Amino acid sequence: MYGETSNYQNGIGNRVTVLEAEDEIISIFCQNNGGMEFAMPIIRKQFNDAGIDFKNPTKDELIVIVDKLVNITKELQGEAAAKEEFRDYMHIINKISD
Amino acid sequence: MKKTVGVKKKICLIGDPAVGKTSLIRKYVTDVFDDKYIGTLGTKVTKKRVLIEEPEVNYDLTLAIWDILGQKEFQRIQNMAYRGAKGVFLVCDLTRKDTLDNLNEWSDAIKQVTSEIPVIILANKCDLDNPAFGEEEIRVISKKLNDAPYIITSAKNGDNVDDAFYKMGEFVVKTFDELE
Repeated sequence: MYGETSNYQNGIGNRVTVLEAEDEIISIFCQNNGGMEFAMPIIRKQFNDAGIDFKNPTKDELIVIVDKLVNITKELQGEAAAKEEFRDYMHIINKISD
Repeated sequence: MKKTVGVKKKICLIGDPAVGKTSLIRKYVTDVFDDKYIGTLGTKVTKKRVLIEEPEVNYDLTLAIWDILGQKEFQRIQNMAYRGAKGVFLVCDLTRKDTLDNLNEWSDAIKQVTSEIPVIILANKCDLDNPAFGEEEIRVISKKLNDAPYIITSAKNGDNVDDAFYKMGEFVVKTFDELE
């Protein structure tokens, strides 16, 4: 979808679990999109619509969620913000231990 | 005639998974209890208005009640959710002693994010027949948490649920911001 050079610096260390990555991704989405009260219902809907278990997603399922979240950011904040967010998300996903 | 002041405050319920946080909120807000357990996905905010009567003034308090998932892996989500809270319920399950022991950790986590705020311990599920601990053990934890008050509740039959939220309301209005 977008390039994968991330400027994302703060937060997590070298290798992360899927849940740590999910935690980080959701936090970023909330920060970028109006705060938790506004953003969390949107996130919940993406998980429910995709039939993905919030508490036990696979790495591939997390990529599906990322794609959905980035599309929402694109609608809310435009292409540039979505690109940046996507790079940050992929940077986190690439740190997931296999 | 007493003045009525509009106040809104954020409070949180935190504690291990499946201690009954969501059920307590549902019971308080909608008077409904559902035996089926569905874990909280992230955070959920429910609002409830309550009138707090004080000798000098009445408070028309709107509580924004934050239900926060209990899985320890979601630390960043939890830390974000604590911000701005003016009161916190630390919830444990009377049938699982570890949920009481873990309240120290939950308290430490919230202290890292918020200033000193009122804490009430809720020992939930008193409707069940097999308690794993009693008031003596709760008092030990309460002592460690600066003598935080504790209330024994049942989200299932509603025991002390309204009282617990009212008590929290009384605590939080003491530092109120008037509504515009």
